[in-house]
Amino acid sequence: MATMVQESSPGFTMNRTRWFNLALLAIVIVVLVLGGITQPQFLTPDNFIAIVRAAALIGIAAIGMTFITLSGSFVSLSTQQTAILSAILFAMALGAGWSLVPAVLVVLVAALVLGAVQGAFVALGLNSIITTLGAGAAIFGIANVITDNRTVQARSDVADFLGTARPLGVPIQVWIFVILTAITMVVLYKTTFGRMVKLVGSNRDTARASGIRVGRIILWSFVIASVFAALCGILLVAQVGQAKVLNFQGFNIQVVAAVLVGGTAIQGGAGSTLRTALGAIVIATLENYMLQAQYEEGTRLVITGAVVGIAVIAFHWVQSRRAR
Amino acid sequence: MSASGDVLLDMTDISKSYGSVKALVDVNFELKSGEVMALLGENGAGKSTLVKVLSGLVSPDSGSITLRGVTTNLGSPHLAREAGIAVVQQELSLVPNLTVAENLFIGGTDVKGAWTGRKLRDLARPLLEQVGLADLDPRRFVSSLSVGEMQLIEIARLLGRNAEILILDEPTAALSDVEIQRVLKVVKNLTGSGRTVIYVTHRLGEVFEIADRATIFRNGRSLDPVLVSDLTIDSLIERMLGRHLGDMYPGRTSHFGPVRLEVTDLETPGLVAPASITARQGEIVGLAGQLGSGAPTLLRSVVGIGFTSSGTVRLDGVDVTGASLQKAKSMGVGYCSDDRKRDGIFALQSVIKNISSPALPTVSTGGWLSAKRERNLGRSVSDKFAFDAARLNGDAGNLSGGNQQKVAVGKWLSISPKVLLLEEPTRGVDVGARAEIYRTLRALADEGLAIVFASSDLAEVHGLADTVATFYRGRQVRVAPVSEISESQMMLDVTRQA
Repeated sequence: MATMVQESSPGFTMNRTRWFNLALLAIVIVVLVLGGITQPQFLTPDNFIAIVRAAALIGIAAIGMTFITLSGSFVSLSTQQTAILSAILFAMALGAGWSLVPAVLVVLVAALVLGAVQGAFVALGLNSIITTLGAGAAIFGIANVITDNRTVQARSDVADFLGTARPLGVPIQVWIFVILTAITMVVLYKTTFGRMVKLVGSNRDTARASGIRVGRIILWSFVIASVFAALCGILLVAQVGQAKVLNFQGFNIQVVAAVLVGGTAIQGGAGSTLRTALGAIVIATLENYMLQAQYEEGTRLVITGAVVGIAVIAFHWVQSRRAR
Repeated sequence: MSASGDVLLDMTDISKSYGSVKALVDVNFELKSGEVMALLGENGAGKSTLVKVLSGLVSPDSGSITLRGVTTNLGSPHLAREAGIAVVQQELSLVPNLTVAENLFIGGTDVKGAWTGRKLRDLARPLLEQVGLADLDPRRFVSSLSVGEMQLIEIARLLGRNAEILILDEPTAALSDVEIQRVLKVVKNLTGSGRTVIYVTHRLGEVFEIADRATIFRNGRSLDPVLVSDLTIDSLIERMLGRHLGDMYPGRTSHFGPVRLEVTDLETPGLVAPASITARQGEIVGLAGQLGSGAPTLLRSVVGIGFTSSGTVRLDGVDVTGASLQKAKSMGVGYCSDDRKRDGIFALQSVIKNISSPALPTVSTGGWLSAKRERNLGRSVSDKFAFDAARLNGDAGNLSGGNQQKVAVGKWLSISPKVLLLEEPTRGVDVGARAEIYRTLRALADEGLAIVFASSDLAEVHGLADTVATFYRGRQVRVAPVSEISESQMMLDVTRQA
């Protein structure tokens, strides 16, 4: 067949993608084994819990961000600020004597509004990086103003429970992380919404010409990312009982790194929240190991950056093989 | 036809494989100095790979290349350029925000000293004259030029590099008939000034206008070169396909049902006078016009992409004037633009996901996708479009141009449309797939669909449409049954030389 020259067989791509997933797991295992050998306290149960907790926080925000990336709006740079403000609002609400459920709901609704505003701007055609950079600065500013730079104490038994409980021996943050990964996978692969997110990210013009309401999909992707970031803020307060503007240092970078290491195509259209979750585990494990091994902050940044770079190049290679 | 000289380039037994895919198999290609050699073949036949070998982008696995009697290595773009070979790519590579003169000398290092505006203009003039653009101000920004002028600038740029062998890869694919004539004239003149041209095209008519010989590629193999004067268009098509084509255009039935789409006195930016068309059940209406004729604008405003200033659009008698794209879709109107890469397909998604993209509600229940219903939908669409169902799970971007076009048009069958609006339905599509698309459109019309398509290919409009509407510069010139208008009359209408 003449046309076979340009057309590759379908089975090829599946295997490559699976290979990439396995490679991510392999990286985690290698880091764990190396860490176990060189750092005696690395593989202790306590440290393991610390790793999965950190992975859960990065992961939840990264899963939400995956919707933005998949729908073709690159990344959000207001994730960290949204988490900070949400943590502060949640701590204030609890500190003022609110019970858990209304406090959680109010914070999530606030995040929904913040996400919807940013999403609306992007849907109208603004660049997502610039929009979220600006929004992030504004949100951080609000957090500063309402706390006056002081730490907010939460004081709540219910929140303590949320932060420290371990049903079946697994911290509650990790449960939430796992459940959200599963739910978002179902949403992405089994619902028309998930399909539209990928189509919009794959080619916005074709999506529009196919009658898909592109703006609406973009708006919802920012809402999801913002709400998931707020959830991280809530979980942090639950864990440490207080909130301040200096929480979540470097969180934007870690979350973006998790999405990219997970191999979600930065131009949109291809990727999954499961892979993002694996990416978050890679980043959290690596960060924890480097902290244990007492690397300087500069060194940690260089290594994290290098891992992201290698992962992106590796995935690009897989993709370009696919296009041949 | 000009007499051809000595053998300038001789490629023997060139093979190239990508993994298990054989792009070129023992290909022979010969070029005599001063000739225009047409390079022909269906999409995927190996033409582009050969062009890439010649331009140094791809190294062949085996075979030898002799240039002016000397064995030559074209292992890199730099070496190819040194050897005097230059390619005008299908995708234009000009920088829109630079002037004509600046574009001519990008990457060319022959300009000594500072690039003053005056020096560049003086150097640019002779080049522009050679491509028939003597009147063009070299200070104009490229973004203000027509696509045809840009194509000519591309050629002028290569002349500036003193290239001896010019490869033109489908230079007329995006041009209107009038601009094509301009480009063809320039190409003919090139050989007069001692250059040799390899001309890649899907438009077979052009071959007879300018080429001396033709080399035809089929399934990665080359046939012996033939003199164009020994060919007819039918024998050429048969050689390309390796089989008898039959008629390019399917027979007409002319049993039309009631009016499906009725556009009355529509005014929209892009049209300078109101236009009216009707399409009945089972009818194919062809809107003929060059670039800027306004015919596609009409389709766009019907489907809610363009703005409707006045006039009415009725679908099965219901007023849908100014309906949004979503509304038009829900009423059973499908629309496909002339640029499938831009907004016709999702290149990195599977074919099946492309096909279901306009019809997600019909393959889902309460927002939940049904994989089975989606598969069945994909199969039924691929059956209708003579599309190999085995490729449904592959990425649409990996398909040949013809198959991509089948996906871009075929996806609209998923909404069980009443009306299909198409712009340039066979642009960049090889002759085999083209005939299949015509056949499918006719079969759909016979099932009761009304089809309206806009095209700058007059032969296509005349061959496929039941009713023809001609457009010139935003004005509807005439509407007539195809039996009452000749192709030459259409040509007069769309160029307004009457």
